Amino acid sequence: MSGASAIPGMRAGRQLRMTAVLTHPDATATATLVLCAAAFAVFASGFASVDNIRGIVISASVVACIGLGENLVMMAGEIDVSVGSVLALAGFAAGPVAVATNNLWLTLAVAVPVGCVAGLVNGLIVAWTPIPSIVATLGTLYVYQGVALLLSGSHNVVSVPPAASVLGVGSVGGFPAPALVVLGAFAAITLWHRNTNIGRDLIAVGANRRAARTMGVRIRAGLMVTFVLAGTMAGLAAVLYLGEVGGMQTSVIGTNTVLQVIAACAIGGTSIQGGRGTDLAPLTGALLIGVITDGVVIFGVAGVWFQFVYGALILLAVARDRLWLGRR
Amino acid sequence: MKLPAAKVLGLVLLLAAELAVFTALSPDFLTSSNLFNIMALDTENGLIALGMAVVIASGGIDLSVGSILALSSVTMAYAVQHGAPVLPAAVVCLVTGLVCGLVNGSLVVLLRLHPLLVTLGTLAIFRGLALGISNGNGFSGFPTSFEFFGQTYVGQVPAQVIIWLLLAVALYLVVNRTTAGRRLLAVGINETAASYAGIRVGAVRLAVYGASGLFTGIASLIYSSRVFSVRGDSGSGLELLAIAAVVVGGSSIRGGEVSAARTTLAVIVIGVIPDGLQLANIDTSWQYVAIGVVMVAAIVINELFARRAAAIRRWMPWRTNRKEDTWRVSDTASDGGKQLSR
Repeated sequence: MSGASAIPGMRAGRQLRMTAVLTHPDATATATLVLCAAAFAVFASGFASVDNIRGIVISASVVACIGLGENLVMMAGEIDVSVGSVLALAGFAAGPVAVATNNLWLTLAVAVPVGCVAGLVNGLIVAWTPIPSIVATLGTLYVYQGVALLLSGSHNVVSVPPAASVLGVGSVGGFPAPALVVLGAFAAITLWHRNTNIGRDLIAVGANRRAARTMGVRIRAGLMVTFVLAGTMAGLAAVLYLGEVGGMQTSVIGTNTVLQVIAACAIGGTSIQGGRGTDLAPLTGALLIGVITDGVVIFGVAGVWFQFVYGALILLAVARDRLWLGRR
Repeated sequence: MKLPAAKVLGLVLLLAAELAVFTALSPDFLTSSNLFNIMALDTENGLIALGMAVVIASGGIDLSVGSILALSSVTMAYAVQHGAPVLPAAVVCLVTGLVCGLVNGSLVVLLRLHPLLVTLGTLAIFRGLALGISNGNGFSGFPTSFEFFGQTYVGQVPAQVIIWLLLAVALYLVVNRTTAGRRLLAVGINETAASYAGIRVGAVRLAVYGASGLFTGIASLIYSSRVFSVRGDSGSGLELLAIAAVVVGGSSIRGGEVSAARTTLAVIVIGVIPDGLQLANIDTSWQYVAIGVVMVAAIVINELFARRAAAIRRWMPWRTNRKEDTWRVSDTASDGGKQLSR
């Protein structure tokens, strides 16, 4: 999957393996992350402190969590632009429950199924109708956004009590809880990806659908599962968000989240056209976005110019393979 | 029935249904002043959707239009603040839009990245420039002559609606009556084939994003004049509304077709929803649900008509199967057409 170009017969063996490693999407993404972090650690005082890095990890966890699901959708050659609205929908469904009962399990029992059902609706439309996924999920984006607004009654959810926000603010042995949740979800998705037929065939669905169908790959089942997973992860992310922020604002109901999630997956090395990508991509991508955000703030870039620098760095991060390796 | 004509009919039926429902819900809805008001409010989205339709026809997408709207209005305000008269300032607004579009186009061509990712990046960059130049402050100190661009009426008709419709006609003519239009569609249908046919794909790309930027610049000028103030954070979410309009208009998101008439109709189909709900005293949160439902309904109606058109044609052997009418349908039938882009 490294996409290494054909190398003339003279070069073989170790050299070829070396090329494969160096051009692996995970390798360039991780290298960019390390380079960026190192640069900020040297030039931005206060960046390399434990507290600061903890903060970055926590703030990146929501995007990483949603990204784990979106990443699968992108690998299958589709795109889900509704995940931001699913986050808001699950948050406004589960938020009042969390505030009223202060029970983590009840909150999860509302948020995760809501996300799951939202993803199921997306999956049904994409798998069983000829409507392209970007169009179908654009439609459901508006529907979920409207339902979330109706649920909220235009009021923010505030002051989520401590027991229900454990996943957002708690820690186990010094490790922040949201990061552990994301790592757990990553492990589960990787296991699923490698050990089930649908999971193993996912890349084929994204790379060449006609060939995959000829080989007997169950395309509809694969699409359904990836969209359900994307919705479910957005539902889980809503619980993390409720915990970290202590509430849910109606301003979350926008397009910012989904754009960050797609950027994270792309920065991590998953192709937006499908058929190429790794499970680790959303994690490195979200962390890189977190590092850039944090570093730019520490550098003291005036608040109003923040988004300009942020956008330029994101574009550089996405374009790095083209710029440095010059491969197609 | 020809396929494009069937799609227009579907949209007209949808619009008629909406008008009937909203007229039943509120007596104030079906008045000429309200309908003109809806058209005036829709003009900005209508212009942006025309640009978006061209970009999508070429097989691309432009997520940065909302930020371009903000940036071009902010640079105009900057010019006015530094003593520029109204007319040169308006030119600054249009030129900024065009330049932003050309930046998008050159990045797409040079980096060979998916346009979704490029314009995702420039969305943040243009927004950041808008916030930076305006220093996060709003500006409303325009001279009264600035009202000309967004608050002029010809009789009872708002002038911007006339501009919008004229530009839609111009786009129709360019797409259907010039070689530039044929090149655009050729690139959208099959980029490789187009380049073998001697079409400079890069130049088409550049022009397409430039056009989108210019249309957004015009929309920005009208919008700033209508609300008579400028903010660096205006226009977010416009990109999705414009894409929704193109899709409701029945154009394939995978490119290769463009219709100024259908896109314009679709903008109105979407645009009457918030106004109708408001006049009927329904919680405006429902507008998002309604937009989503209308989108899905429009796509399903289009799909039904498309299948029917193909089926009818099959039973008419004397009718030549024109390629541009049929290939899209057979394409979706054979592989489900699931690739986001080629």
